[in-house]
Amino acid sequence: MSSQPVPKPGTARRLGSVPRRGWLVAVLVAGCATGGLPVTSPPTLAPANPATPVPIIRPLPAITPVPAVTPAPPSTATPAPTEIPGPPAAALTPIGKDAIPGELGSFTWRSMGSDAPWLVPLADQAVREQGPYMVTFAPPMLVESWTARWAPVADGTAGAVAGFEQGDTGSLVMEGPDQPGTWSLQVDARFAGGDRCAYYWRLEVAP
Amino acid sequence: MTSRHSSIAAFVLALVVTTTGVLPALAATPDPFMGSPFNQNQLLAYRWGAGAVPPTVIKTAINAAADDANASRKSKAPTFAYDGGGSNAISYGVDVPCGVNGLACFRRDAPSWFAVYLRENGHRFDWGTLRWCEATDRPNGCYDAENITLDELGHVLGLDHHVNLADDSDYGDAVVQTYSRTKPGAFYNAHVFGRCDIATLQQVYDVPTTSTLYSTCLDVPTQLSMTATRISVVAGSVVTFTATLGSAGTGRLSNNAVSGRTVVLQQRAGSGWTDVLTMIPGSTAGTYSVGLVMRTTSDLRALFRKPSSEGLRSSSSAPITVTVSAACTTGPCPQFAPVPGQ
Repeated sequence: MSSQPVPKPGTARRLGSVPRRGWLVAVLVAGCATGGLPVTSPPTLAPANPATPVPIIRPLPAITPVPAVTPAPPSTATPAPTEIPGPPAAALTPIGKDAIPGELGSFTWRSMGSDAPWLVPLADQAVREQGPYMVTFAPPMLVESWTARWAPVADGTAGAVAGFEQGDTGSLVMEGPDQPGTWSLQVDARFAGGDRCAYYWRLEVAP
Repeated sequence: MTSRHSSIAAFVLALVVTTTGVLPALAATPDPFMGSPFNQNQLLAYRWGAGAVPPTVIKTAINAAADDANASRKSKAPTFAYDGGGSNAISYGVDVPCGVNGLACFRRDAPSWFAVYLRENGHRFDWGTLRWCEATDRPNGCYDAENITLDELGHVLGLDHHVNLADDSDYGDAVVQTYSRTKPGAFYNAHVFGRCDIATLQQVYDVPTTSTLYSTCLDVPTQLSMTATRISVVAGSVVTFTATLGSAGTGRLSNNAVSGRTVVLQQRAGSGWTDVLTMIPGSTAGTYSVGLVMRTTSDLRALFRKPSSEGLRSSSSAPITVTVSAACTTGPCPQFAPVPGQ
């Protein structure tokens, strides 16, 4: 990143606060629950409706050690080269829209890991709808905790972090930036067992 | 409610569930740890991967990173050294098993072996072309191979990516980061482990000496006890107080003697305490002593104040009451009362 744009004042979302749109939709949900469900029903997370668009994403190919560079300790401690299942693929789904696959950045997975820059996916992979967004994984994975950060994109590179959300066990759903512009969204997911993966999407939020 | 509406409701309800009850991260925390550790102070000798030998400038950067790790670990974490017959490999080139966007990657099976891989200079990613600073004339946008290798060696030791604060303002607290920065980004060429890298290394592998400072990314409790040579004396007698300071953390950071710190002797004054003397380091690790001429009956205790330079908490000893009687001026005079247990 050769440029570090200064985030606009007020764009950084403070932790622990429910965003404005979050309050609005919370009220809407309360209204739906009262009108559409028996009053005595406890609030539960409904299973995905069969009519809901299902993200079609393929798992990443397994990462196969290349013999030429596979460590070959002289002792018998070296495991035989085997296929190691890699991190899951991730897709971001704006509400009611199609899923957009994410770019895998840095990850630590089982006994291996990879380090990458803050990625800015190409424009033809941009998400053009405003949040909220849901992130899903293939194969499905239980997320223990997650953070989402977004940075403005200028000249193809990401600037300083301008917004943040986080959550723990449960669905990975976020609002994302509420300011117009082009953003690079980073989602860092920690899965059950401790594996962690960072994924990136390009968001183009219209005024 | 239509199926679309019900799915939206589920989606939104999930949003509400996940955005409430979230506590802000207020302070930097030690890097997460992953997998099993190597042994304390284990020497991890590495060689160049067969058919994947780095060019000289990258070799120099990798060896420098190994030195950086050794010098800045501030713990009993393993050390790295080049050895042509080493059982671990560091490889460079086209065929590396890194993620599709990975600059570098690692594999580890502690305590047996590790491997590190760096992509070749000029590798073309979707996001651009990889330029190692050391292999070029350090243009803006280059990656510092020494820094990236230090990041990988941190992973080898078991460090997972640092969990940054919301605004990433603590990026400089760790080399082992979720994303790598390029020149001229801040810390793109950090060549020492950050304080939150060190914190985890200290938790997992222990501090190397009793006088090593605990990382400020930690918040380790301490325990302080004190003894006195006598608790009942005549006025003008000297009583020697000896305090013992130790760590009271968990795992490796429990019950460590803590030397070379400042421990003061305090005297009760009204409802509070006032400093009397700074205690002098004793001959035994973690001990601090001072002799005091007693004039009046007093409550005394030792105090260790939380230093700004390290991640140890304050602690104080239980108070000791030293009873002072008037000096004997006409014989026969009583002997000093012995300290219980002596």
